[in-house]
Amino acid sequence: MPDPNIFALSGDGRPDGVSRRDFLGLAASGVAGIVLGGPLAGQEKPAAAKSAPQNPADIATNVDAIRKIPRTAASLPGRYSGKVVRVSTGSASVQGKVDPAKVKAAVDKGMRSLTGRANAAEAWREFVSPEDIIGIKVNPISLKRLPTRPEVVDAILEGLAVAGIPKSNIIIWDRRHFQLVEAGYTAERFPGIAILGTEMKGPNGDFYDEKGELWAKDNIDREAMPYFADTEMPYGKNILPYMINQGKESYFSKIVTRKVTKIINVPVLKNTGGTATLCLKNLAYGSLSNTSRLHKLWAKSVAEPCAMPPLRDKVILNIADGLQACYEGGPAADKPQYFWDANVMMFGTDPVAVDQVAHDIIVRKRIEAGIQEADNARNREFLDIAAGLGLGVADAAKIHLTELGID
Amino acid sequence: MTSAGLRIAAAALAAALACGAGTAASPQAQALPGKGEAGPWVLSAPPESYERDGLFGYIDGGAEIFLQYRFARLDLGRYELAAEGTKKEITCEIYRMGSPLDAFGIFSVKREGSEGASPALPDPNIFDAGQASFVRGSCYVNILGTGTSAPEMDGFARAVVQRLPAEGDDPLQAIARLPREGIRPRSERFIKGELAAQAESDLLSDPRWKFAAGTTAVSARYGEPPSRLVLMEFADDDPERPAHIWDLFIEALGRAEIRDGVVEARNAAGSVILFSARGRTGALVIGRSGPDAARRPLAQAFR
Repeated sequence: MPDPNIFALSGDGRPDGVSRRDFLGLAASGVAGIVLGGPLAGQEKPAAAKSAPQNPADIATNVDAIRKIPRTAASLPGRYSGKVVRVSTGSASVQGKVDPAKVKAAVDKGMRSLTGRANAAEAWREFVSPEDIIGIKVNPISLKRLPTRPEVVDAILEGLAVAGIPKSNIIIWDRRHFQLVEAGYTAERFPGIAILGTEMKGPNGDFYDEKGELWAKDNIDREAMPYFADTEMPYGKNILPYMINQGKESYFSKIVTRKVTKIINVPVLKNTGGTATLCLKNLAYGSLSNTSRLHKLWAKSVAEPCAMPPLRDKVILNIADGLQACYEGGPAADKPQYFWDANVMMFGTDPVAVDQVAHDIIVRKRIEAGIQEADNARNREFLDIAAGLGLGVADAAKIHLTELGID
Repeated sequence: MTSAGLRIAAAALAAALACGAGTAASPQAQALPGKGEAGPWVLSAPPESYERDGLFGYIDGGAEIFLQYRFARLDLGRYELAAEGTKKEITCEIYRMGSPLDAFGIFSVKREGSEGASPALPDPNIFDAGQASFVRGSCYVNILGTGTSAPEMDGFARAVVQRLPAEGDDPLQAIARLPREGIRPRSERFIKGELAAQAESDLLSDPRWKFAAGTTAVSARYGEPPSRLVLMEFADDDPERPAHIWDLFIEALGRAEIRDGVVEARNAAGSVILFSARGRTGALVIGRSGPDAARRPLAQAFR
């Protein structure tokens, strides 16, 4: 049973005096940065040496220590390395309006195909058991515009139910509680399921308590190994609630280190510049504190945290929501003119392989639309780094892709 | 000043310091309207300011492109209506950039070209009920409204314009060298730095264009479906440049040829991609209407 005391959520999690547009600007401006600068990461060095550009490749991380952590039987890429099931969902999404029955059919079919099982219950039981605490990692960063569709989570919850997982053992989570709420992940919509965000307000309706300390400061796990990167930046009082700590360490949320035993990753098919970032980015940036500085070493910081035990050894499934997708303006998805009903869902245990298939979908769409002229290997560097860390298969020629339809 | 006034001033200063605001009021900070200076809007919190490093915190991941346009300082005010009980809010961001051209540059790469505009604000601008963006002197101003109407945004934006001096060169001189025939309105950009180059075209992210070393460009869209013309001023003289770009096209697109000094390739979607250079000036055309249509802006570029 999730411990409600660690994450005492209140209100909508939005700070006083900060508008929804500000949050769009905050979370989604990353977006702008990523769209514009994106997978290349930044070039500027903060406080210590303003005059000298800092090459992302030169920013040291604790990746060598990460590599030495013994793998477990549950470590990524999981049971089905290099395997991706791509299910065409037909008309499940029509201008973003989703047909739940078709989504349910797609999830059942995808799970059966991935596992080779005769029915969905058997497929789900391959991954979960009633004693597990399951964390469903959604992506609400684009708020109402293009989040993980609640209908997809409904279908996953049905699968977990037939596998015997009680609702009390399920958590829907992300880093920012207010984004979960805005995207439709509320207690009313998902009764009996815990909805948790690492960044949150306290009972006084503010991010800070009467001593001026962040309520969320205890939501990150300073005892677990942090992701270290030799770069830092100062955050003001208004920004710190969304970063939780400053310095050269990014800490994992206690949601991943302590509350859940297994993670089902449910990202959305969106572009990030000239690539797609679904599984790996949703996990890494959704689980860590102090992420703003990490954009400077974007490719490394998307891949390397996924090789750390809280993610590497707990993620059991990646179910990518491509019912409606965007090929420009992601990941904030603030340009609806670039949305399209992609009507696809992808299933795999291997997050690298799923991301590679998604990369191909997005790049093809961008080239067709005249937004991009050609694929650019630099944009998918994070996939090669992840593959090098043993998290999955990045070579498209080596991915076993199964394509199905629901009709 | 009365003792009450001193207390208010001290409290305001303390509040400003507490929220991380800068220690000195910049000219653009003074452009943030105070009480009674923008109709019924009042500051809901002390103004904030961010310099280089702080910008990384304010714009989560999006600061680098501002730095490449020589970002100096952001002053920001959050406003609400004086009357209680409304959900209307305005956030006014005033970014001081390196020059009027830099300010236009960051404005230009952030617009889509399809947004609305207001004749009452400095040209060019973006305007609707939820946003007003424009360039004034070396400042890029971005005003975001929540629940606001167009007249409310208009009134607030005009108040900011009145408080910001129109200093420096006209940045639109830089885009005057773009051919005007067939140009799509509000599609012009000033490109500086690797990130803006990549935003224009992923092809331009290649180091052979030398945007990290000082190459700059202006660009615009032409015709329907739109072709793109990117007019570059290279950082150096390089007689081998067409050969380098030919190599790049081969690597990125598979095939390329050089005819009459023009490097020509096609991508998987059938777009025609042309490049030609004369000294330090180069022109890249990405055309979606066939080779003849693509060659038209290329010819105009060197006219």
